[in-house]
Amino acid sequence: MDRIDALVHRMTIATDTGEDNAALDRFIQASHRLDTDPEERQRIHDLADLIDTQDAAYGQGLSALEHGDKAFAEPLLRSADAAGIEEAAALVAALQDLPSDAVPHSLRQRAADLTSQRLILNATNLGATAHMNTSTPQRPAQPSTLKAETTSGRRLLRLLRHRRGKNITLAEITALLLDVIDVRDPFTRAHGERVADLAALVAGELNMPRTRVEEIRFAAMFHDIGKLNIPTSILRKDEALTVEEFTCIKLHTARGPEIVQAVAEIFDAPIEKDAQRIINASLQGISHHHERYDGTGYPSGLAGQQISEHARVIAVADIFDAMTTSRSYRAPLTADQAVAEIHNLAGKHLDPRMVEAFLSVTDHDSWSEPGPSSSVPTNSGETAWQSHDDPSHPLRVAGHT
Amino acid sequence: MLSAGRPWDAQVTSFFLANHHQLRRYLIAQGCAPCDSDDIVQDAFLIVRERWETVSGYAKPKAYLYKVALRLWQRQAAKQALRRYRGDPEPRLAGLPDPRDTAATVEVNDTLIRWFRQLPVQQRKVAALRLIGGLSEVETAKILDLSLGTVKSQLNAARKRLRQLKDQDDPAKGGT
Repeated sequence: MDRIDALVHRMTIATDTGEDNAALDRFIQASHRLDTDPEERQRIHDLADLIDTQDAAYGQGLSALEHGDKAFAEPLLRSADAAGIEEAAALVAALQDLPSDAVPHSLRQRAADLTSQRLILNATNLGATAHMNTSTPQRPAQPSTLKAETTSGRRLLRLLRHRRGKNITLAEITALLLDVIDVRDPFTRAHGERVADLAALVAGELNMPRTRVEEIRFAAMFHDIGKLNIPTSILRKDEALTVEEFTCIKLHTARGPEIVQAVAEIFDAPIEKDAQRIINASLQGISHHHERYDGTGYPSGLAGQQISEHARVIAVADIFDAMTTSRSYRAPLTADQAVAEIHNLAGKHLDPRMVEAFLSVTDHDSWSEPGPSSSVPTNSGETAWQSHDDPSHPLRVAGHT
Repeated sequence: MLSAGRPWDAQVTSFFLANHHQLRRYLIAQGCAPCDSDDIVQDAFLIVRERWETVSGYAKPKAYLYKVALRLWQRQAAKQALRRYRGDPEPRLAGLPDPRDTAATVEVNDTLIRWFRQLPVQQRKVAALRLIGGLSEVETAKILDLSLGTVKSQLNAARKRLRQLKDQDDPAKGGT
């Protein structure tokens, strides 16, 4: 502990011995009053409800701002401002300065960034990952299970006691990240899990070492996590994007590694060495999964072997999953059609070596083609999705068709 | 132990004894007058008691306690600031501390409180939760709705300032 921290702590806990008893007596009397006086009880419940409402208002205010709804966002953010949330105050001031009701992209982006930040911090406090205690990457618990665990206080405390003193595992980090993505965008979670499974099969087909396969699986699982910071109004936009909005979409390849690295900092305990190594190795795969073998991709326009091996594997799995899932602007291809398309993309968008491995995977007897039921997450409430980073489809940017 | 009411009162009593003093110090360091801090501490623990079944399921119910206390204090401070502005604009004209600065009216005979009073507002908010309340950086970030990076940078700045204040107080290091 820093010496000034220790000094402040000593100065904080210095107290006279009679204080505890006197304070406790007062608290007991106050508790008795609350139990016997309906008005007092109502006052305390109203205060508790007010605090809950302020939190909810901030979250909903940010959501409304992401959608560009100034009229809905402003009163909600004012409520959060009254609770002393500084960012809410800054957003209210920015909204007041706007010449019209049109919310500029910078403010929508700020709201998306703050929402993403809150999701990650909230996930750690819920302790939703406490049930994961092995280092082997595995299919995470379904949201309903996570929810059940987070609402079961006794079980959670028991698990936390069990975890105390142990380092954080990759499975715990994986579960936390999936939980965060699931709240924001269930489609991205389901897509990431499918791409991870397929990418791991392709890597295995290439006889990559087990550790490399783990790195690729992790990178593939979270290749789109940067979408957490994309305003919902852009992510779900029905029409073609503006150039500015497409620039924002492309930024998800930069935001992804930042989020994964930031999450590694939010645990109280150290991260297992193997987990940290896998996270570090995954970053290039996340950054460059939209690069193309012929150099026409983004963000860096890398070509051939300049693109990390992780990213080249993920690109094949990503494009296959995109082709075989429905979008609001096109029907899904069958697995056979998608395999044929991917064959044609070898040496163009995709590394021929990775395509060859992918084709071998799909030739195996054990290969199970994705069915229609896997294309859309069951809890999404949507039947067809936008995906403005769809690698299987030409860009839909206004003026660039 | 509490005499009536809730099956979890024994746990709440332990929680109260473990945290009430620090919470009161935290509030006073924020700028809350000692007499007001007693009421806020009490209300915060009463809220925690009413929500105990839910709160005890959290990894650290202490974080909820501090969030509640901070919100109650913010609510009260806003009302007081409004009253001061309406009632007496003179202090501002006389160059006295800004009445919106909630630490401006706190007694200065307590060294710790005096130090915190001299921190910029955001540093004070962060350092009070982390150093006086003993919450983690992540919990501090969540309660204040700040990024973890902001919490770390504000905390480092606050530590630097607190060291300076300590040295100024220490005659051996040239202080008064």
